[in-house]
Amino acid sequence: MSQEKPCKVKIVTSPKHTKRAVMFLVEHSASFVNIEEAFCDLDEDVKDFFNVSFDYWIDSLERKHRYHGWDKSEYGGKYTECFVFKCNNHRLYGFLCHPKEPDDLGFYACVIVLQAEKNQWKTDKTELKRAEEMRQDPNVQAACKKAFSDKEGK
Amino acid sequence: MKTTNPHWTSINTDKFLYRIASDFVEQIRDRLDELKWTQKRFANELNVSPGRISQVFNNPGNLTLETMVEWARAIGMKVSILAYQDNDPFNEFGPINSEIFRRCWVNAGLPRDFSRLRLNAIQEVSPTSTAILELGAQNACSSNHTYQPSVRLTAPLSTDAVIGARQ
Repeated sequence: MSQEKPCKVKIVTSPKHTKRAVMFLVEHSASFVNIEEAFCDLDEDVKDFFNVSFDYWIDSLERKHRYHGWDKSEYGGKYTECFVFKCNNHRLYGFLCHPKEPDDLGFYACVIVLQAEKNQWKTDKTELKRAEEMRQDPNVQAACKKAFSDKEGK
Repeated sequence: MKTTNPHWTSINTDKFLYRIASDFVEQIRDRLDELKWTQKRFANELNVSPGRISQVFNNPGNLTLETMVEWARAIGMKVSILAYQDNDPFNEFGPINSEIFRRCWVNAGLPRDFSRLRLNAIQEVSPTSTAILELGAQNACSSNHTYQPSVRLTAPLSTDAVIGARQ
């Protein structure tokens, strides 16, 4: 039986922000989880664009041309907790969660799982399905909680 | 003691510039949406190609101050530069979004000068506050604002506030 790779997330925005955080899923046995390496390989101006988007998202700014989720009317409501950051044809797919519950139900995180290039008008469902699979993975959920409890010295 | 979690804009000056230029571009976008202008119309107004607008929207890092002024003026806006202290000397949180400063100015009643700023601040103070001030009526009025001399507070405010109100 092969040993599963440990699951690890990294907080990429300020861990001191009181309301939100953006995280990268940096280690997982699923081969499609590629965000850390893929982000590093992006052109500098694309990385900057995404970093600005992360800043805006944690400040709860509405910027649909930079990021958005999906509502119940799309894909039969299967991906309402998925999220995407956009820059030209680059897409960073992830999911939303509350990693500090039950202590802080209001704290919101976006965990980015993979980077892909979008070549079609419609979203590729494969990426959404993968993001949703990670959202439901108990190891990923535990890693998200641990990332914050480690920061807070719990 | 330096932080172990500096914001990405701490990497170098270009990153910090990129971020504040992005804030400016977002304000332009918002204004274009309000006016219901397309990027093409905006480009025509500026006598540049639509591609140039798109290029800057996607990568504002090289925006010059001159261009910012041209773009703002083309849609009836102005530009101000400010320096501020935010109790974040090691830049853990990044720049304050310029939209916050704009909204504060709006919330302060759009003061055009320091007298109006002081007067608007006084007018905003709750009647239950512990400051006394008798407001001079006539000189505080301007053609754009209606002055309400009915504010009475209960203890003296700073001298500046009193002088501002009685100009």
